[in-house]
Amino acid sequence: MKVIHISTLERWPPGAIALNRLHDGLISLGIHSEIYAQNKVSTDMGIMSLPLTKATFAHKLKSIEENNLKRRIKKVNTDLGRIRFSTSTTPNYFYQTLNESDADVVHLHWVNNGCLSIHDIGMINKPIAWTLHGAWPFTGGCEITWDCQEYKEACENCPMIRSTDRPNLGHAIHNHKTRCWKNSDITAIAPSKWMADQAKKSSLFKNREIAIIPNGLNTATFRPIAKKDARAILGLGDNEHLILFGSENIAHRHKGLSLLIGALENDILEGIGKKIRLMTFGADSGIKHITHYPQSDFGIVWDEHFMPILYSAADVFVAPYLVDSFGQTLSESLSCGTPVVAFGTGGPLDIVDHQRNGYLAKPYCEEDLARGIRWVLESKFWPQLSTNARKKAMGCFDVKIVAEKHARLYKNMIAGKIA
Amino acid sequence: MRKVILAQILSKLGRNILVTILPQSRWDHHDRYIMKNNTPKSLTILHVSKWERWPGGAIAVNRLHEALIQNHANSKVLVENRVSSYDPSIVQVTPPKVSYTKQAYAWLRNLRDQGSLASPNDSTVSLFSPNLRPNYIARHINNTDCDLVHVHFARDNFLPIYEVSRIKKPIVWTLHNCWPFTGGCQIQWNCKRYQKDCGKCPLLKSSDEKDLSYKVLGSKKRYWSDLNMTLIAPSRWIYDAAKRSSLFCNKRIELIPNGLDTSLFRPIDKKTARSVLGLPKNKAIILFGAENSTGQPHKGFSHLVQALNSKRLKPKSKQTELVVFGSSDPKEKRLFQFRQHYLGTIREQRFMALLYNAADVFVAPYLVDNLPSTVIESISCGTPVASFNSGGLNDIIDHKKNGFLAKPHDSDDLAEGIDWILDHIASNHLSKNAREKAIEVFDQNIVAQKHISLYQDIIGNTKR
Repeated sequence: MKVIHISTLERWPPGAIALNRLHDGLISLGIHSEIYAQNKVSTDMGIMSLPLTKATFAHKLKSIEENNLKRRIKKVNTDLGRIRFSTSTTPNYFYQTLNESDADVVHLHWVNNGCLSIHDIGMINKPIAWTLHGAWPFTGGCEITWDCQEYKEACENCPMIRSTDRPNLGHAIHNHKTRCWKNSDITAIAPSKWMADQAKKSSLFKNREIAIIPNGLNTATFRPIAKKDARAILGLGDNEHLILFGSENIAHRHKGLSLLIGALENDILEGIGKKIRLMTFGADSGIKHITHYPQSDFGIVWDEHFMPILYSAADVFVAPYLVDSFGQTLSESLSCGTPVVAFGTGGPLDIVDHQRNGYLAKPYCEEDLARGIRWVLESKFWPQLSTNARKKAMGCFDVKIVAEKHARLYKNMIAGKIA
Repeated sequence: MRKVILAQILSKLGRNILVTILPQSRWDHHDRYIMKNNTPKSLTILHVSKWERWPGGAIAVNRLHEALIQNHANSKVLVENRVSSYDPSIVQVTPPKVSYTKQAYAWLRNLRDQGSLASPNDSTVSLFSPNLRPNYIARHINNTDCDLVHVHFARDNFLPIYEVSRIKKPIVWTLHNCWPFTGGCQIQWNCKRYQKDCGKCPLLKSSDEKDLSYKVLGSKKRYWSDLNMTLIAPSRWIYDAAKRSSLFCNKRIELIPNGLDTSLFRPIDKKTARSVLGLPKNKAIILFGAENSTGQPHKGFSHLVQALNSKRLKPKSKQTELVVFGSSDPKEKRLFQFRQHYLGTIREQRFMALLYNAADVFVAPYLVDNLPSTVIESISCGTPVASFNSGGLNDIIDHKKNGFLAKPHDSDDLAEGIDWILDHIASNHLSKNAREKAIEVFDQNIVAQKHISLYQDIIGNTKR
C-alpha cells in the first residue's frame, strides 16, 4: 500500500508536526508513505518538494487575481483575530502527477496557500483522505467557524467578508467546492468528536464518511522526566507551583491569553500553599510579566526534544484555548504526565477526562478555570492524576496506535473503491 | 496591473531576482516605531547576513547581535529570510524599486554567470558563489540610519560584489569563511591561487587562465580597493590566509573571536543531564556532531569511524557509547561495535547544552574549519574536545589542557586523543580549564565589547 501525503508546510505549525509523526508511524508499520510538501526544509529522503508544473499565462493571471482578493480580505477581518481566510482558487495542475503515480490513497492535510486548489482536489481520481486540521475543507474559506452557522447551508452571509454583495466571496468558494467535489471520493478524518460533529452538519461533508482519529505523538520522546532533574536544568526552584502555558503563538486571539490572565488574577488562587510561578513558551511570548506572579519565558522552542523538559517541570499545563480542532500541546503534556486544565469545548473534550487526568472548566468562565488550576495544584492525588495522564496518552495518542487506525481506514477506502 | 504582471513574470524567470509586489511589510513599520521611541544610543549597527540563525556558522551572527543589544548598542540584522518572525530588530530585505531595464540587465548578467559554471555538480554549486549579479540592495542599506555596516554572509547574490562598493558607510566584514578574499570558493583547501589572481580554478575544474574565478576576484579588486573596509578574523588561521591574499594584504584586519552566551552553555550536573536524555550513567559517552555531520565529507565522520575501529579504542567498545547530532540514522548502521544514538538536526540551544554536558568528550574531526561554534559551545559546557590541529581549532583548544590536538588527518592520533581524554576526565582539571577558557575568551560580553571599541575606532577615523 502506498500513501502520498500532501501539505503546504512540512514542519512548523502543529498540523504539519502531526503529519510528520504520522509519516514516521506509517513507515514503521511497513506502509510506503511519502510526503509532498510545498516548502521542504528537512533533508529527509521520504519528503519531496512539490514539483513546479509549467504555469500557463491564464494561471498567472488567476494567481494575481487571488492575491488581490487576499489583500482585500486582510483589510476586513482584523477584528476577528489573525485567522486565515483562504481562497485556494489558483490551479497548479499537481493532480496530473498524482493521478499518474502508483499511490493507492492520497492523504491531504493543510493544503491552502497555493499548494492544491479546489479544482485540483476535485480532479484527483484516487480515494482521498483528508485530515481536518482546520475547518477550511467544509467552509467558504475560513479556518475557524466561531459561532457562524452559515457553512451548514451555503455561506451566503459571511461575517468575515462583511459584504452585502450576493453572491459574495464565501458563497462563491462554497459553490465552487460543491461543484468541483461532486464526484470525488473524500473521506474526512476528524481529530476530535467536536470537529466531526461540525463536519457532519456541513452541507459539503454531510454525505461523506467521517472517521475520528486523534493526532499521534511519539510517547518515547514525550515521556515523564523526574521533576527535580527537569527543574534543575531549567534553573527553577523545587518549592514553587509551576504553571505552564504556551502554544505555537500565544498572542493569537483563539489561544485565550486574556482568559488565563483573568483566571490567574482571580481571588480563588490566593492563599495557596506555595508560591506560584508562570512559565510560558511560544512565539510572541516576549510579553513579560503578564500577571503579578513571577514569570519565566522560554520563547520559541525550536526542537521537540526540549519540550518534555518543560512539560515535566510544570505542575499543571493550562490550555485556555477558545477553539481547537485537537490540541497537540494537551496530548503532549498528558504524555509527559502533567495534568491539564482546559475549557470543556472542542478538541480538549476528547483529550482531558474531567478530574481524572486534568480539569475541564466551564467554557470561557475565568473563575472555573482558576478553580481548576487550584484543584490540580492542591490535589492530594497529584501522582495519581499524573499516572492517569500518561496512561491515557499511551492508550490513545501513541503514534503506533494512531498509525494502525489510519492504515485500517486506508484499507477500507481502497476496498470501497473496488466494490 | 501591468507592473504586477511583469513583476510576477520576472520573479518566475529568475528565481532569485528580488522583486516584490507587496507593500512594505508591517514589521518595517514596527521597526521604525521602535527606532523612534528608543533613547538615542551611541552606535547603530546594521548587520547584513544572508541567514540569521542557521545553517551552521550563521548562529554567530545572531549571538553577536544579541550581545551588542545587551551592551547598549543599537543593532539590527538585515536578512534574506527571517526565521524568528517576531523579533522586530531582525529585518527582512524589502528590495528597492528599480527600473525594469535594470532588472532585466541583472537577469541577463545572471544568465551569463550561470553559463560559466559549466556543468556544475552539486558540491561545486554549494561551495562556489560568483555573486556578481547586481540587485540594488545597497540603496536599501544606505536608506537606513546606521553608522556602520557589518557584513557576515554575502553569498548567493544576497550582497553582490558591486553593491558592496555602493555602500556609503564604513564597512566591517567578518571572515566566517574564505569567500571575501577568494575568487568564489568558501574554503580554498590547498589552492594558493587566491594570493595572486585566481583563474585555473580547481573547484571549477577549468584550465583557463581567465575563467569565472578570475573574473570574480578581478571584480572584487576593481570595486573594493578604495573602500573603507575593516576585516574581522575570528581565528588566527583565517587571519594568516587573509593577510596573504592579494585582495586584503593592505587592509586592516582585526582578530576577534566569535562569542557565545556562557550562561546558556553552562556546566550542568552530568548525572542529571544523562537521566533527562535517557543515556546510561555508568558508561563513557563520545559526542560527535555538526551540520549534516555524517553527510559532508569535510566534517570528518570517516576519520572518527577509523579512530573508533583502531586498536586503541576497539577494546573499550563495551563501556562506551557514541552520540551523533546533526544527522539521522545512516543506512549502514554497523560501521563499528559501539552503541550509537543518532539525534537528527537539533536547533534548540538549551538542548545542545544538555548534550554537551552529558558527554565525556566531544570529538571534532573537521578537516578544516574556521572557528567551529560546536567546539566553543563544548568547552563552555566544560566538556573537553579532541580534534585535529587544523584551521582555527588551535585557537580554542590548548593541547592537553582543555582538549587534545591530534596530528592533522591522522585517525590513530585522534583515537589516542579520545582515549587520553577519557582517562583523564575523572580528575576534573580538563573541564575546569575548558570552562575558564570559554569565560575568559569567548564570553559574548567580552566579544561584544571588543566589537564596540572597534566600531567606535572606525567611526572616529572616518569622521576625521
